Amino acid sequence: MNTQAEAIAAPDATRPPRRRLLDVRHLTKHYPITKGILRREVGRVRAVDDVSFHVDEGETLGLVGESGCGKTSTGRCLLRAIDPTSGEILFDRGNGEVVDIAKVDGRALKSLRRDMQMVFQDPFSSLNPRWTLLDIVGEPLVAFGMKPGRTLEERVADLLQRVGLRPEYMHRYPHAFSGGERQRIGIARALALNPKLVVADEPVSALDVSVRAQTLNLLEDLQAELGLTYVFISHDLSVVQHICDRVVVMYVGQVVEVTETNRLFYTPRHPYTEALLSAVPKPDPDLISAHLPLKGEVADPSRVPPGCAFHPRCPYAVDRCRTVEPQLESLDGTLVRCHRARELSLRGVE
Amino acid sequence: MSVATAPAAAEGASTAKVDINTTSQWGLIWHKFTRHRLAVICGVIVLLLYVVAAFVEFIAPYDPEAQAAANAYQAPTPIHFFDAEGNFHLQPFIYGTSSKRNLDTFELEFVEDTSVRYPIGLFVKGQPYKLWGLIPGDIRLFGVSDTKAQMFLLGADRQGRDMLSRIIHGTRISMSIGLVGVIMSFFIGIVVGGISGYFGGVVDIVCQRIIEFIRSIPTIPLWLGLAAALPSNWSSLQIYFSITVILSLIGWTGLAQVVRGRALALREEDFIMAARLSGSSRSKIIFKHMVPSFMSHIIAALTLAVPEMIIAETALSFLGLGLRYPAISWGVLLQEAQNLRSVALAPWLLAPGAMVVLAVLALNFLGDGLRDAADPYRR
Amino acid sequence: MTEPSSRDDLLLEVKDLRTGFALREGYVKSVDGASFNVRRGETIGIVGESGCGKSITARSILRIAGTNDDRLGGEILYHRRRGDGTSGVVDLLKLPSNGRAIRSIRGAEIAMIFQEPMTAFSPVHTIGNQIIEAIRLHQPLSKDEARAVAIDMLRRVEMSNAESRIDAYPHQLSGGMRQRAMIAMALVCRPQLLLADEPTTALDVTTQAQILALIRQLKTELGMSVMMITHDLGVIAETAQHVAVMYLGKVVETADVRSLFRDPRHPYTRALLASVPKLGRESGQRLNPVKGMVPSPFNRPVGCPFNTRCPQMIPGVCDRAMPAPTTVGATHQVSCFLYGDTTTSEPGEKAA
Repeated sequence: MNTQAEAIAAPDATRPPRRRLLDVRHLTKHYPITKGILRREVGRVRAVDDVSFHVDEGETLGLVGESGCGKTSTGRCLLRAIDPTSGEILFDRGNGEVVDIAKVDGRALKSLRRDMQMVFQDPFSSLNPRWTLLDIVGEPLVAFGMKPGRTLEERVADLLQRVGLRPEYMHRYPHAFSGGERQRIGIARALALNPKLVVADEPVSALDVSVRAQTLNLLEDLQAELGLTYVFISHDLSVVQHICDRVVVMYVGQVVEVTETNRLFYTPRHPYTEALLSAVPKPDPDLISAHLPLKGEVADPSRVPPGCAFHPRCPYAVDRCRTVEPQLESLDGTLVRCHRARELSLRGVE
Repeated sequence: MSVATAPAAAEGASTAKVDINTTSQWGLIWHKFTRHRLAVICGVIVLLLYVVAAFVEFIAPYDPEAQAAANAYQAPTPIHFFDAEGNFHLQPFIYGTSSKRNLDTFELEFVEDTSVRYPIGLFVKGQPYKLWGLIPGDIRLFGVSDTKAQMFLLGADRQGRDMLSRIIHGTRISMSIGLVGVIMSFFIGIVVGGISGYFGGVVDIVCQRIIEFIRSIPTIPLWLGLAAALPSNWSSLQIYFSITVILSLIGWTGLAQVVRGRALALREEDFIMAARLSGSSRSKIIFKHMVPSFMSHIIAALTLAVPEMIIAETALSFLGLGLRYPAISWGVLLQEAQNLRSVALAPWLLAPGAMVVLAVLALNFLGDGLRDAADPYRR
Repeated sequence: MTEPSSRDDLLLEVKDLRTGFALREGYVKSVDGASFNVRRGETIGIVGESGCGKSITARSILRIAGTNDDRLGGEILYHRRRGDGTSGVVDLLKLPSNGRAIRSIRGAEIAMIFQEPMTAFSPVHTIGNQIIEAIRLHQPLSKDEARAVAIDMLRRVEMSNAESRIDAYPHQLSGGMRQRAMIAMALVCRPQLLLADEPTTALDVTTQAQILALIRQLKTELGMSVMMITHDLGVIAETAQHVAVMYLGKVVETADVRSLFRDPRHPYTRALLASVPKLGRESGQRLNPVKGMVPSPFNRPVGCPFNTRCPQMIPGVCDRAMPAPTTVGATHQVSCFLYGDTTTSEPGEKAA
């Protein structure tokens, strides 16, 4: 075993345990597929399928996976932007109160909005083009009672400065700004109410390469300054390794591996994780991985294979994998959903 | 997936006349609209038509009801700048006319009497009127001050009434019935379209089928049926409003479909979800986010709905089932052009038709321009 | 400017390509002096961010860029070698953009695949239809013969159930399948050069790995060259032997792939490499973003296009004139005043 990797992966015993901010239990979101005028249900899209994980205060949790894995739907469920089919999302508000986001409604839901916000992927469609920056960034403040006027403008100015934009810009419209700057506006809006939790849904995927670095640095700085907790959704593993403390790997709506970042990247336990890591093209010509690319297509969440969802593509699949669904089990500090996790020895990154 | 970094409006960068950075949606729409020259010209024409419609009593040279059998079917009076001796006069004038019955054809023939000249002036004192039925006055925009003169710039009808004045008076009803009808359609269309688009699902399916059913009914028989059902002893005003209601009861469907389409598209936009996550109430989302998004589309759709109403009213009145005497609209005027003999004798009776064409074309081009400019953010 | 080694393994020479669009606001230069070579059997990577002109460069090779032909400058010399043994050099820029000559090259000798297969295919025709059309445009085969060739090609691109998938419509296939179909359509006439414009950017990472491996394999089987256009430095490292870095319409550095990553010379290349998060040991270090923003193509800086953001800008030099390419290694050239004070023989660039 690679001692360097082991050393990195060993938990830090001296750090005080963090408060658990979010506890997701058996979260499920299914979309029915209907046919005919009477809209008979003929199938289900299992977008999020019995997902469980937790998020500690102050950390950055990564949600990774490819298309159809359910990471975006999970993120939206966390914020109640969409309603889960079943499951619990327990949120510790800090004053001793623990709320189930999935069940809460009405006024209680609205007051929860102060604590959790979202940063969207597309910097063009996430800002209303007909509103000025003042309107956009100020919207959450106004929704919670701040009256338009001096105080509002000062607060918006402060927020814009925090994300590196000039306060004078508040009277401009989004079309005056580039993609990277618009993403900052979205971040400023997310911070307006001093949330505890920010779900960032692919925040840099739509940006140019050189702008990504600026935005990632900004997110890191803000986390340190304001004590934010991030759920960072991405398909880009190099970004995830860079910014996340722990990572949840999803495949076709299920969690297949959860662990600390370095442990995931150096000693993955799930064959899908191994495949993902070897598939990422590395910007180093000497690191061309000898691994064969994974065969088959990304599974369709409306037609999940029986047994282990990954078995049709898994190079290590055995008979058991085709019939019996594996459960999420703990293995040396990693939660992994694989029948053969204990016996396999998988390759991570160098 | 990299999104192309828009040529960032860097410091000081702006297109020639407009500072894009601080221009609101309406500014951008105006900017785009004014580049469409035909639409702007037609916009001016439409504006002029409405000005005329507002001030008909002042603008028309004669009282539209002033009859004189002696002037029946008089041809349009030519305007001259040069007199019989070839002298140029800055102020245009007309000659006096005398009529004589041709004993062979029994037609009245009108002959110009070049000895008498009547200059045409501005702001002349003419027949008295009451502007909007309220304000009395007798100054008219232009005309001939001598009452003995007869200036029929677009000829006279069977009862010797000045066609130009009648057409001008017709502008008021023809142009306004479109507006009133459209305002009613506006409210029905937004409500139905908005509900259909916002809620989707079964609600949407039901609303759309209703709309399609209404649209599939052939319009003219429907109008005729509804108009024929109106009691014939109603006053002009009552008939006017009833016609408007009838027109708008069918016209709202187009607008509803436009609104529904936009609402459906908007629902998926990230900024709507962001608004919900920010805590904004549903009504705020609808009125502050969604409605401004499709307001410009609605205006374009409305502008395009007005000519349909004008043609509908004209058709109904022409067929005798809409407005009737003594109301004056272009359709009512065209009723008198219904028989071939009149038209052969007096082709100027078709002039109201030309006005309809002008108004409808102008409104259509204007609406086209508005529709093209309606979404300045289209990427 | 080129290596002293033999010239007869050169396939394509792009020399000082200049092209752009005449817009209402003025003339926008998309490519402002791009030069690089493509050798037979080699993969050249063209890397740069949005607006650098890499796509337009590729499209200009096939004359499908949609730019104004009257302002076209430079040369694109295609060293053609036909099956019957004839060969010759054609300047593709001199050919009429829709003439028979260029059309006989498109698809048959130089082919292109795009980022978004959904928009590259006609939605109302089956993929089989479109592949067969591509075949019959260049080869005198009957419909049945062409169909057999198409099915064979689909098998080669590892599309399962090729005989039935050939009659599928594009929307019935997944993203990876569509990309394979597009590759099949492009390669069915065995072109000598494949232009790949961000072919995997829209794909999942595991699918991307499959497609890149497929392109690599087909390249060896068919003995063709590939021009891989992307903004992803990882893809470049994995697929290219030679790399050209573009910024704001100019090629700022060309090198073999190892030299580019080990010893980048141009400040832009360095900045780009430093700003990308890495996997593995180097992860977690603070990223060094390139400061500033890409200038608007309407407001090109005078002199070297990168001078407004360059940490090593020499005032009075870099903002005056455009540096000429300087050779700094056997296969390594940079256009930067740090490595030589030769300027181009053209007059100093004026802002557009």
